Order: sequence, then C-alpha cells, then structure tokens
Amino acid sequence: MAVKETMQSEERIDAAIALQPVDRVPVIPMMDFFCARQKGVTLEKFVNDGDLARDLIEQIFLDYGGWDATMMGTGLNEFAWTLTLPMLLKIPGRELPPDEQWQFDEREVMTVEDYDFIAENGWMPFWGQMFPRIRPNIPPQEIPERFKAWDEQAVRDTHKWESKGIHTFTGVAIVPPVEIFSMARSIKEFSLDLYRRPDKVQAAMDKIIDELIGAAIGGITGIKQRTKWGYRTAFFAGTRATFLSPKHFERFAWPYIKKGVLAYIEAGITPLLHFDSDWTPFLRYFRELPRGKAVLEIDSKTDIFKAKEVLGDHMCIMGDVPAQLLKLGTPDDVRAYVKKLIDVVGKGGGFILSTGCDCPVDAKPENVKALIEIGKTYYPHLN
Amino acid sequence: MIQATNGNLASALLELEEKDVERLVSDELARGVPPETILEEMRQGMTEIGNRFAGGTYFLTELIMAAEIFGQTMKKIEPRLTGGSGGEAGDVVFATVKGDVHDIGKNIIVAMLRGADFRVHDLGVDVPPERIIEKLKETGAGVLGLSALLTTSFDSMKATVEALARAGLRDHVKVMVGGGPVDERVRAYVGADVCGRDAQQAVNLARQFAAVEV
Repeated sequence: MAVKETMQSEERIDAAIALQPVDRVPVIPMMDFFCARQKGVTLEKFVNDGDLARDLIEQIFLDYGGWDATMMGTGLNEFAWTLTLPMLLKIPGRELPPDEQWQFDEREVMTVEDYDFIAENGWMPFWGQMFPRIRPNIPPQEIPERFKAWDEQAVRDTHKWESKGIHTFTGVAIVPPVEIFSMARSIKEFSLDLYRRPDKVQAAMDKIIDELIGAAIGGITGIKQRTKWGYRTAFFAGTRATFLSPKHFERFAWPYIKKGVLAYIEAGITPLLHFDSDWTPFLRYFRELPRGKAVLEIDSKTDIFKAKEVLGDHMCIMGDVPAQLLKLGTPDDVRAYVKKLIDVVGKGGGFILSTGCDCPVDAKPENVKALIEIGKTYYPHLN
Repeated sequence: MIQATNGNLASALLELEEKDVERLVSDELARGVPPETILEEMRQGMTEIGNRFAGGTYFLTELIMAAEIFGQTMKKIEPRLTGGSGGEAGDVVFATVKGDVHDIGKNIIVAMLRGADFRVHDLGVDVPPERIIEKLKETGAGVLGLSALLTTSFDSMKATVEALARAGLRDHVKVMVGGGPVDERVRAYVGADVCGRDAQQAVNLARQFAAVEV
C-alpha cells in the first residue's frame, strides 16, 4: 500500500517514540563515512573538517530524496571522542592510509590504582590525567580551545540543518561507567576487576555517575538554548554491559543506566539508547523504564523481533538494517528485510527505521537508496 | 598412582573461584598428583564453561575470567609436564585480517582454543595474507581462523582465502571466519568454510575439523 504522508517529520518521530499511530515509519539512517566515499572525498578530510563532513552528509541527504532527521548533531573528531570513548584512536592519514575509517585501539590506559583516584576525585580530574595517554599528539594546554571548537561546531551544524527545515535526531553522549571503565581498563582487565576488586569498581562508579549525568544534561540543554529545536533525543551509549553475567549486570550496569535514563526523562530529554552488541538476554530490564519515553536503538546483534515481543507495547525500537546486508546484499534483499521490519516491528507503532549502527563506508549506494525509498513508502498498518 | 580431586578443581574453576583453584593446584602438586591429571581436570572445567556460554548461562566476562585462571594454572604446571605443553588437539593459525586492528574477540577465542588443547599460532592484528600463508606452511596447521569487525575487512578475508588457493593450501586448510558483522552471507562472499558466532562455536568447529583431519 502506497503511503500518503499526513505528518511532518518531527510529529512522526515524536509519535513513534510515544507509541502513538504514525502515517509511516520515521526513517533515520546513521550516515557518516559512506557520504564521503560516495562523493569521492577521503576519510582523512572527512574526519578533520567538521563543516565539510556535514556538507557531504547533506549532499547525500538531498541526492537520496531526504529522510526524517539527520542522525548525529555533533561533528565527531579525534578530540570529541575523548569525552566519551577513552581509548587510543588510529586516524586516517596519520596511523592509517588516508581513505580508511578510524579504528579504536583498546589498551590499558587506566590502572587498578586509578579506581581509587576516581572514587576520591571524580571523573573529570581523572580524565585530565588520562588525556595524554589516549591523545599523546594533542598538547593538554589545547584542551580548552579544542573543546570550544567542538562545541561551536555542534551549534553550527544544527543551525545549518535547521536552516533547511531539518531536525537533528540526537547528540551529546552519556556513556555509563561500565562502558567507560571497560574501555579504559581494556575489556580483559575490566572483566578480571569485576572478580578481583568489585568493591573498588563500584566505589568509582558510584562517585562518577551523577557527574556524568550532570555533564550530559548540561550539554544537551546548552545546545537547546543556542538553537531553534535542539536535538530530538540525547545519545546514550551501551555495548559492553552485555558482556556481563546477569549478576554483575544488576550490580555494575543496570542501576547506572537506569539512573541516567530517569534523570534524562526527568529533565524533559528523550534518551536514545544506542545499544550495540547483543542485548537480547537483557531486554526485560527495559520494562522498568517509563513507557513511551525512550528509544532502544539496536545494531542487528540484538534480535529485533524478540525486542518487539518483549518491549513492543512499552518502548520505541529503532534499527537495524545490518551492515553486511548493505555491503553484500542486493536492493531486493534490502527491500525484503526492511519490509519485514515494518511488517513485524512496525506493527502497532513504536518503530524507527535505521541502519544497524552506522551505514558502512563501503555499502552499495543502491542498497542505501532502497532502504530509504522502501522505508518512506511502505506502511501496511493504517486502519 | 595418586589421583586427582574428585572434581573439586573443575568445580572451583567453574565457579570462577581463583583462590580456590590456586590452592587446590598447589595442594595436588604437593600430594604428588601428576600435572597431566591436573591439566585434564582443568580442561574438563573449561569445556563445561564453554558449554554454559554456548547455552546462554555464562557470559563473556566469565569466559575471560576462566581463561585467566586457566592461563595462570598453566604457567604453574607447564614446567612440570613431561610430554610438553599440550597441543594434542591440533594446530590452529589465527589472525585479525589486514586493515583491521580489533582483537578482543580474537584473543578470547585464542584463549578458549588453548584451553581445549589446541596449539594456537596467534599472528595478531592487521595481518596480510602472505604472513598467514607462511605460518600455515611452517606449522602445517589444518585450521585457519580469521576475525574482523569492519565491513571493509571482508575484502581482506576474501583476499586471504584466494591467496590460500594460489598457494595450493586451500584443500588442506579449513577456514573459519567470525567477528561482529560476519554471518553466512559474509562467509559465502569470502569463500570460507564456516562462520562462527562465538568463542565456543569456534572451539567446536576446530574440534570437528581436527577430527576430520585425523
């Protein structure tokens, strides 16, 4: 059945989040490196020039007939990542060939002793100490100006999109303590810490959670004050929590995730739980969150159909066209998968169509076009 | 001959009680229990941990902790083993392919394979096909594991499998692939024999291949 659009993009997005009826599913793919590759620009240029990156995404947006909102509000660069993902980073044109995507290089940049320092002093004092370990190439005295440049970039990007009438879906990240420590300690050392020094880990987590929440809410509010619409949602990262046993999940992951989500909602912000990896065994926990107030965005490792079964009446689900399908499949394969998503996960509302995490740099353009086209025109659930 | 511990050691490992394992191993060695017997019991524990992981009752951090305890125990008993340090199950070459530096998944699988008595030749990350071929020739390994997190690495995996064919090794080496976005579609694209979903599946596949080889 062909779609007759009766809603504006922002109404459609808000309705999907609130589990209300929609005229079709909102379509919000996560586009980044793919746009550079399609426009013949190297990834080195893309990661080092925020304005260029935004313009390339906009060009693809226009070429492909548009979608409901641009995904990321904040231009990501090697400095910005340090605020959310405390790891060494290999950059195209520096550690990598100029047209390869960046890759995180997980090393132990936080020691066992650092837990005590963090429990005593909080996250940002430690972040300042850790910074030279993860970005030895950036002199620490440049941090304030780098931060300012990144913040101004975020505002400039949002203004630019707003000037075209396009909303920005998400930005500014909160990364729960379990994720931060797992990255900074390395997954192996962090896993051992949970058994060898659980109380130290928890003390550090307890110390920083309010600080992380406060900083994220401050960031989101700051963007909102300086732009017309701000972001529709606020980014909330999660992957490594799924590596934990349920017993550890309930002690080291869930209480902090839940606290962050509730604080966002309390502040009038919609959390976008950008949760990669396989959350299938943990889906039931999300029923503890307020109904229709948050989005669970999954990357195709979580069983999205199971997610619909467990959470469909409770929480908007977003996802999850797999990266490998966009690279190796045909447009027909993509259309068939998207139709199935809309048929099953879209039934009764509460679904936003997206790529599973970001669109791969080497996706076939005809596949990405097929995703967007079928997503905007196929909706069998009216009446 | 003095026998082992009625399964106490395997259950301590299964419960991830590091101190208990340490104490039991020291006690057994002091009692004169042969290190081979201790190792066998540790392997039984690792197999059960792998089964629980595959069954969804154990999670990744539990695998990592178990592999750590196993590795620590090995360090202690390895010098006392008379017949070398194992590797009875066969040789496996393992690598994260060229262009990809992610190794968390690979490292866990390597640890599990070692726990299952495979001799694993871990070439690390960003490994070009020629180094893989060289190692396969040098060791005569019948199983090759390739790991990747990025879609761009599918092409490296494909190039590696093609290089294997050019070197005349394709019929003698079983290739298993895995990593975040790797599924059946990717397996077909790169020309591998199988794709594995997790560490325990990799161990099971390696066992199957080794059995065929024998």
